[in-house]
Amino acid sequence: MILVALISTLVLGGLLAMLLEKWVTGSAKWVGLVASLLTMSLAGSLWIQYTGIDASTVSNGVFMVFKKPWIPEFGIEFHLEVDGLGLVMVMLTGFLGLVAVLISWSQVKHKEGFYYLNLLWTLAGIMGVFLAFDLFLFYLFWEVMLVPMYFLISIWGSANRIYAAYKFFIYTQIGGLLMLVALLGLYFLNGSSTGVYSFNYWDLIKTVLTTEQSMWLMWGFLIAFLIKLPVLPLHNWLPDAHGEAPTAGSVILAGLLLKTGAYGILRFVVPFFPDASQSIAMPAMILGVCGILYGAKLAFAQTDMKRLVAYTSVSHMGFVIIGIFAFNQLAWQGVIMQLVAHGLSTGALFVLAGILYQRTGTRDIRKYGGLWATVPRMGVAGLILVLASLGLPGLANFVAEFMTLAGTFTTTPIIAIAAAIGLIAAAVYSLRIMQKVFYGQDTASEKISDLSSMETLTIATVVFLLIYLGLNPGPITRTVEPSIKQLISQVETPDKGGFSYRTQVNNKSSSNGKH
Amino acid sequence: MENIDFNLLSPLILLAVAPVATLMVIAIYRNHTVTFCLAVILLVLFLIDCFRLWSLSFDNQMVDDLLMIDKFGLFFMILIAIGGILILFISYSYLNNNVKVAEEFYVLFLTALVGAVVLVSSIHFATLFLGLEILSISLYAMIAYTREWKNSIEGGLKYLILAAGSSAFLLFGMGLIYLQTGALDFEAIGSSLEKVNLISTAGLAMMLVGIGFKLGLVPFHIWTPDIYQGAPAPVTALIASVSKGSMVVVLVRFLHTTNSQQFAWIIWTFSAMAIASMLIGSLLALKQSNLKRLLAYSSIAHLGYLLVAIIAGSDFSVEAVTYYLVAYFISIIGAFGILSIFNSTGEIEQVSDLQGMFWTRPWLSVIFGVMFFSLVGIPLTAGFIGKFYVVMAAVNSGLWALAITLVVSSAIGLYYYLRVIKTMLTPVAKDAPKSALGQLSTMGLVVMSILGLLVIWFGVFPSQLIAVIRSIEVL
Repeated sequence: MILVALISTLVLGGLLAMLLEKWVTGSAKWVGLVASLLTMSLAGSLWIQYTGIDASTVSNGVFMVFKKPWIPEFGIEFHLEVDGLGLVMVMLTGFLGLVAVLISWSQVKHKEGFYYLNLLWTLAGIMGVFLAFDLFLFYLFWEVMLVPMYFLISIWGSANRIYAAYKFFIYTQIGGLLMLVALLGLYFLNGSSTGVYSFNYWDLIKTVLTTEQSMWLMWGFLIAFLIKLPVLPLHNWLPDAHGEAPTAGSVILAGLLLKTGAYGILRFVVPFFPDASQSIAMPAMILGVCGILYGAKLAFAQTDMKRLVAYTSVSHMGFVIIGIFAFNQLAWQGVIMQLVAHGLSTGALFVLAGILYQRTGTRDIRKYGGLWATVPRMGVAGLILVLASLGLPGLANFVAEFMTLAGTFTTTPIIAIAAAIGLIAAAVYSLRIMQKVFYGQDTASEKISDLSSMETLTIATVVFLLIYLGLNPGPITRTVEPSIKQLISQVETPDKGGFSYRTQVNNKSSSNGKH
Repeated sequence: MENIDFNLLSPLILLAVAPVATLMVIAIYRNHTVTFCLAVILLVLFLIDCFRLWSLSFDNQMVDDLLMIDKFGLFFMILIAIGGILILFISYSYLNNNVKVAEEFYVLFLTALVGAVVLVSSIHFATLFLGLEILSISLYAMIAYTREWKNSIEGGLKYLILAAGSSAFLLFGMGLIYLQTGALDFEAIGSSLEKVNLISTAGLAMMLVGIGFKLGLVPFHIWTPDIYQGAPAPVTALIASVSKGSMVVVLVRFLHTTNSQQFAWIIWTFSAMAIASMLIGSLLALKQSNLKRLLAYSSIAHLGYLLVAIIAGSDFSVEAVTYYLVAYFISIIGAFGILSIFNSTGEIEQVSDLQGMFWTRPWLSVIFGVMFFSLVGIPLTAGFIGKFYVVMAAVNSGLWALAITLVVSSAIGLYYYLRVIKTMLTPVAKDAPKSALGQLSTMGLVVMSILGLLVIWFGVFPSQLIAVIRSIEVL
């Protein structure tokens, strides 16, 4: 039930916010806060339950299931499950959802009821994506998270919002529809061979496919996820959407929506089509490297603060794609660390960018400068987040990138080396943010106010988590380990030689966690 | 004629009596409200009779080779009746505001429904043509009913000429097939069509042209936008739903009974028409600023989707068509309904008329949005399940090219549907002239709310409807 509650709290909260705002002006944000707090605590209780059980006793790493027939004619069930991987994503969703509500508190001033409806429904869709184990249901949530996001961008976004919203919607919708076609292909192939027509994840994973079939179907899924992630030639929607969305929208986009792409590849593409995905590993990794470098280059060239952060996402997601297609446990744990760390750090950077925009009325970083003197708290926050983004040891992003690169190195050293160059580029564009915004000459005539206490609290929590996970990544890596083992078992380890090395590192990281 | 079961024919008889009865009542006492109530009551009676038949377990029964009373036909009779009642409710306030003499509209409306009902149970060229002509002739007059408007007259005339032309094609095609097979009923035609020669091929092709016209498929789609724009909005709703829907049903029945899908060229032609309709319909809709034209082009695309399901020809195919038609009926009646339920002269025509509607009339806009989302196929709406069904049918039969085209067309379609929704969300500037939207009729709002809830209901809990549709067999 707790799984249903995770989604329904957000859905009902959204409706309540919309309705209550009609009667009591200003109540929507409180409803939003309560709903997101409730969701967060539900996710927390799930986490506590999970740590309480022995992971080895549960099959497939799944420890909670909710199943109800929905459209039995098609073999569709309302089927939610959560395993370690799902749990981490659910936690992230709960936390960033709360951040998004808090950051909207003072920034959203018109049509609040409808705003919180959309915000909470987007979160509900994302939550559903991470929990659904029925592929029809997954597709449904996948689409459901788009529509409210479209409204968030197109109503509360900045100047060029309409264009950005269209672009976002159409890109992702094309991907989604392709996924639908591939999904149905899989459904019928599985159904005709076994006689049981079902959208159940565990049924479909067993589908026997010819090489050609699995190649085509994989592309259907993969394109949807690569658009979301995004990977180099398909990234075009991202800077616009991130740049024009309201702050909370950018936080959710960067922190959560992009993650659904990575999650989809890990959860569906690789286990469903192990051979096909291995056969495209090299081109995919090369695209990943290109993404890292190209994203970094463009980030360096941006003058718009939010677009800059958006391009750093393109760059960071390159690591994710490399890690996934390295097909080993260490890299995958790194990938998930990266999802969490990037979600937190980039989310917080967007929060900061949003606050700066709200105070100064511009997002042009050439017009900032010397802000440290007037807003020291913002400066400190900015410094830590920027350092996290460039991968400074001691912060979560470093752990993530290190694990990803180390894992990749065991299989394809050349890719790891090329990707490591991206770390240097990251330092360059990250430090440029610091320099342009907080150092240098203060040119602004008006003084802006520093972070309010609520904003400080929000960002401080993120910073705390980044440092904590940077020093002790155990909670994340240990939680996802069983599910990753299960997922990766679908793929034959391409390089047996690296195995002992990987287990060593894993033992180390998990024993670290126990201290 | 000796062993006809009048019990089974009773819905048809009842509906055929309805326009006559209405006409007589008008002759005695001319009053808009009375006529409206009478028409609604008669349709409700028809509906009840259909339900009664539905609940009986009966064998599919042919009436003298002309009509087939079976669950498939009955299902669509019910759908037509419900759609008809809803459109009547929309029409009432619309006619009150826009025409001086409204009573005859209901007579025409009922005869149009008679035509549609004959069409969905037709298994014979004679009834096919009869039903089609009853339907079309009523429509000519209804399109031109708001005769003070230039567009309306123009639309009526255009429809008259083009529909007559396409009927001629249809008739010629039937003649050629008759020449070849010596039969007029579908089943006999099917059994003697096996030997292909030039005459029967030409006959089928001619019929295709005629049917293509009626459905507004590319390349026979040119009339659609003009008629949609010219006709009063409730009539457009009738054309888009009942008229096209019943034609689809008779097409399905014809193909199924005669087994024409054995001819590769028919499949190829249909595929080409489907692809062209989906793409051209969506692309041409992009530039429209007139809502009715926009919906016209989108209906071309929608008929293309339906054609995909028809081509699939599997077990899923008929189910998919049926579900899609139900979803499409609700959504399109809803969309046109909203254009016509404001208590002001004229109707909303331009997309820009809707600007800021979301902030002034939130409930209505939400319903409108739901209708549009259903037309695009966003999950949790009936349209999504419909589209899902169609893609399912296509994938099941391995029609990848059609499935992909459907995807592309939907993505293009998104753009213009979103544009309308975006317009509703854009606040009106303070100094802008007052919105053209007048007061709202309560009845219209109630009908719209029901439609909106139906769209959501069939989108979230499609199970029951699917079970019903599965229980239908086409014969």
